[in-house]
Amino acid sequence: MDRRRFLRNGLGSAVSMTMATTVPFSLLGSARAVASEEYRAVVCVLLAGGADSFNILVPRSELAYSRYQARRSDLALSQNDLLPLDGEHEGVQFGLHPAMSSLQQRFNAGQATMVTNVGPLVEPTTRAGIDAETVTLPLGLFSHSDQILSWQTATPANRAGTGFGGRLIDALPGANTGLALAGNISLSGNNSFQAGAVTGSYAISANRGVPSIAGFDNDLFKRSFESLMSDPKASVLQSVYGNKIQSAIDAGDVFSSVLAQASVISTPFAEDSFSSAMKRIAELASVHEQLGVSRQTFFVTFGGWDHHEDTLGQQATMLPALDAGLGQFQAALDELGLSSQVTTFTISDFGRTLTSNGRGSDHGWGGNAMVMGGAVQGGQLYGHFPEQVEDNPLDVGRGRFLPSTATDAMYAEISRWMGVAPESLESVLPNWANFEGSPQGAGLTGMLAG
Amino acid sequence: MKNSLISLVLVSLLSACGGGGGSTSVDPPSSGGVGSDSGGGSGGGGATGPTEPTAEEYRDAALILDIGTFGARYSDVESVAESGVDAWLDEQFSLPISLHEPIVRRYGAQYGFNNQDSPIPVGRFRRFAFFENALTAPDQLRQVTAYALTQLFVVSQTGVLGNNPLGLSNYYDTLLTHSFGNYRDLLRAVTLHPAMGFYLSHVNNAKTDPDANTFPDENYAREVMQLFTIGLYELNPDGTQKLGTDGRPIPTYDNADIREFSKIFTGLAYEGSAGQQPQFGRNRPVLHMPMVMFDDYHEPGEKYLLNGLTVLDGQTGIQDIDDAVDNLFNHPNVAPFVGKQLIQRLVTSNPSPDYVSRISGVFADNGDGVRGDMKAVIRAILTDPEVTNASRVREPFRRFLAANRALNAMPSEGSDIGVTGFFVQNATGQMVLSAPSVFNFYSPFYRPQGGQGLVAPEMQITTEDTIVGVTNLMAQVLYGDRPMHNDSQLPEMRLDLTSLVSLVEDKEELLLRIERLFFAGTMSEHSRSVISGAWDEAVSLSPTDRVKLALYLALTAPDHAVAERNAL
Repeated sequence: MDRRRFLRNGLGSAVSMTMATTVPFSLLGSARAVASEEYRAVVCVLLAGGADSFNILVPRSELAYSRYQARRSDLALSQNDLLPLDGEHEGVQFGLHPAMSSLQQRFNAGQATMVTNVGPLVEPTTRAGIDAETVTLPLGLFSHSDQILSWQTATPANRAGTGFGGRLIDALPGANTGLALAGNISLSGNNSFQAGAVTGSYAISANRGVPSIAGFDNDLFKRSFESLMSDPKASVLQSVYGNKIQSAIDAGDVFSSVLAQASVISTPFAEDSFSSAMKRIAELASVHEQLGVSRQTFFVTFGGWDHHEDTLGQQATMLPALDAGLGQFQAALDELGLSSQVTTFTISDFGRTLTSNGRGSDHGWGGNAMVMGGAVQGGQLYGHFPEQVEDNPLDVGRGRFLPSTATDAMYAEISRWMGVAPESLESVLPNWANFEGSPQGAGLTGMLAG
Repeated sequence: MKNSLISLVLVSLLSACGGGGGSTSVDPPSSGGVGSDSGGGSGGGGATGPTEPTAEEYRDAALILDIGTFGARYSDVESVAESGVDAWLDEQFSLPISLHEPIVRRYGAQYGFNNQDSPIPVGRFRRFAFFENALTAPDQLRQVTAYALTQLFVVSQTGVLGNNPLGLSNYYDTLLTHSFGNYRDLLRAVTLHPAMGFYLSHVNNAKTDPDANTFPDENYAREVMQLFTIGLYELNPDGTQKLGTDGRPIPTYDNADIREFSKIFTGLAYEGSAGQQPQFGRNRPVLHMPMVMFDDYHEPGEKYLLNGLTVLDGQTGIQDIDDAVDNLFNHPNVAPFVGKQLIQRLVTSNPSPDYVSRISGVFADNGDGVRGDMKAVIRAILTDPEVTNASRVREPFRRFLAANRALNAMPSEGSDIGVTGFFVQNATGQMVLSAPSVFNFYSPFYRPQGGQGLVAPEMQITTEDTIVGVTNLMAQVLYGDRPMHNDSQLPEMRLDLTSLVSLVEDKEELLLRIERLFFAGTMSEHSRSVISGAWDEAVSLSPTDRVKLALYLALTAPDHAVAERNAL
């Protein structure tokens, strides 16, 4: 069956499922019908530029705060301004940046957490191993372009060309019987996170409609254009281009028709680009049945976190938008009844130096990742928060922390929750076997319920 | 006059061979480049009086104008076909520089901002300047080279750079000025430019303060190495990575090196404005004059640079910077690292190692013992035999410019060009000096799915959303009220299709021109037959609409969007 017809059939099944109670079984092929309660999706929010997440999660117990303040000097937040998180973690009380009120509320309600000092590693890594050069380290440590790829791909020692999200959907065959491209939907264009070996991805705009080619109401125009795109002798990249046009036309038809049926979300969203993207994700999640998908990844980039200067001022401007977007999204999921079926998490190039350059902070390694959703066993932190003292052996210079928890541990828990069978985990996380049973691979099991 | 000559020649050819569709422009593929071998013939022609250039000479002309300008105009195709590629390059290298800042100041004066020392608070003037020069500047090769450099030495419109157009226009002029100069001078000028100082935060970057527990900012130190000079891993002259005994790439530097270089880039501040003495850390941004050094804020002591070089204690800050610039410039990685990216920006995303090696050789030594001679590097890149084997997705932004140049988009007589570029930016995500980060719009290593391992950076910004946006943008150029914007507040603008419409009775000549304007002289048989078929079917359309239909199909054809031959 050619790809075009396959896509058309995807549309057929999608429409049938919404318009009739009896689904023509032939259109669904051999796969099982998708029941609403089985739907699960992850939303990856990339804080591009390397967010200074040691100013998002801050110790507020006296000793720990005084160490934080000494290390961060002019970048330290005021102790009184921190939003308290309930409970203690490893004997220390914590607070959030004053802008993160939605995250605080969800944390204290048991629906959000942060994974502390997490970052890309290839294998269990100690300071001694680094100094003795006996351990394989991620490519391009401290470099934006490399660490942003290490986080998206979970293959920090090589550039295999596939990402965690893409391999995750690859490892769940049969879950998506409708429009294959809808398994990975990006609000921020092409990305490495969603590159699969098998499944493709679809990029959609947050604030524009699904675009269609102008002038297709004219038959000559349409026929000539479509014929133009299908040169049997096209070269490799010309075929990539022509196929992209064709999938844009085909999938665009499906998304236009399906999104027209999306429930109207009454939860108010802000109008900035991040909130608009999160709103569009909520709408798309609400039509997963019509799209014929039961396992999905969404990807959205919120950029501009490379705060080498004016860290305090820029965080005070940008974190409210991040917190609002996350909070509105979670409220919309509550409204749609999808709260426990969608889990949102943040990734970022790296954490940053604890020490200041006089105005801001520089590139680091481990950082703190947010995880939010009804499935999150929240109200507690995960991982090991590093002591913020100068002689901490995890400090590889100026308060850059060797991660206490590998990115793979966080992704393994997400994979398990999404339904990846244990024997398939290696295909999703090729380095996971290195970490299983090691301290940097432990501690996150059960972070997501179900 | 020449046009009619060609038409006559073609008409007689057609009648002689029975008018076989398309056969007049199909020639055997050229084995050589666009260099002296194939372009030199017309020089000999001069001695015996003007002769009609050969089809191959037309193709060479179309190709060099495709890669060396913001878009071929048909009159240029004709004149370069006649003069030859080398003569065109010689002329381009010798033309005076068309700068951007004077255009910004011209607009500033129109709005009453006449003070040389004051900011001009209208950010869009630098956009006006870019589009004015892209459309009209005679020194197209220099404009295109500087444009390529904006994607290597990335600075982007943000903060004060968005509000005061002097910063980005002067920065573009710095790139223009050094485009045909020496890479070492270019690197130094970029390092000291306040737009870069603002963007990568080394303006007002102070030395270590033990009392405050603060350290020099590492931002510029890192990116100048990773992105502007040597890259992350040691390279062979052919651009491939060297591998260590463990089979892994060899890092060019580590974080200790970054910290040493971060000390070098301390002490720089903005020049003083309006007769004020400059002050470290406090003065207002002056974005059109190089930053100045305050040695009191410059990190003292020895600094340990790459390849065993130690910068001695007691030097001035500027001496330190010069030593560091030399240290980087003389690193063996610079030639393949920079050379390959210039090839990718100008010619092909997938140069062979041999191509990279040839350019590295010219970068290392221009033949007269000079390293970093940009003029020699650019000439070598554009005249390499491999230019005919391009595999490159055309930048959507440049497709937009090329369409407007080829179709003679101009404002009405006496009016400003005044294009802001928001129109093309919305559709393509691209605008000069507006990348999302110092990592540009796309990675030089991006490999699209289904691309069989080929690199195609521009595919990274080609999504279902933008690919339809760009397709519709081409329709807007042709069918919209204004070809370069949709803002009724901006000056009127029109395409001039007169010469193409005059060919309504001569399909073959029209197709030939389209091929030379939009396909670098070589259109696929498939696109030719689709356009030709649509043309035949559209017989009831007005001549203008019939031409527009053919142009629309040309401008959206996969072999226009992707400059690629099947040779790979």
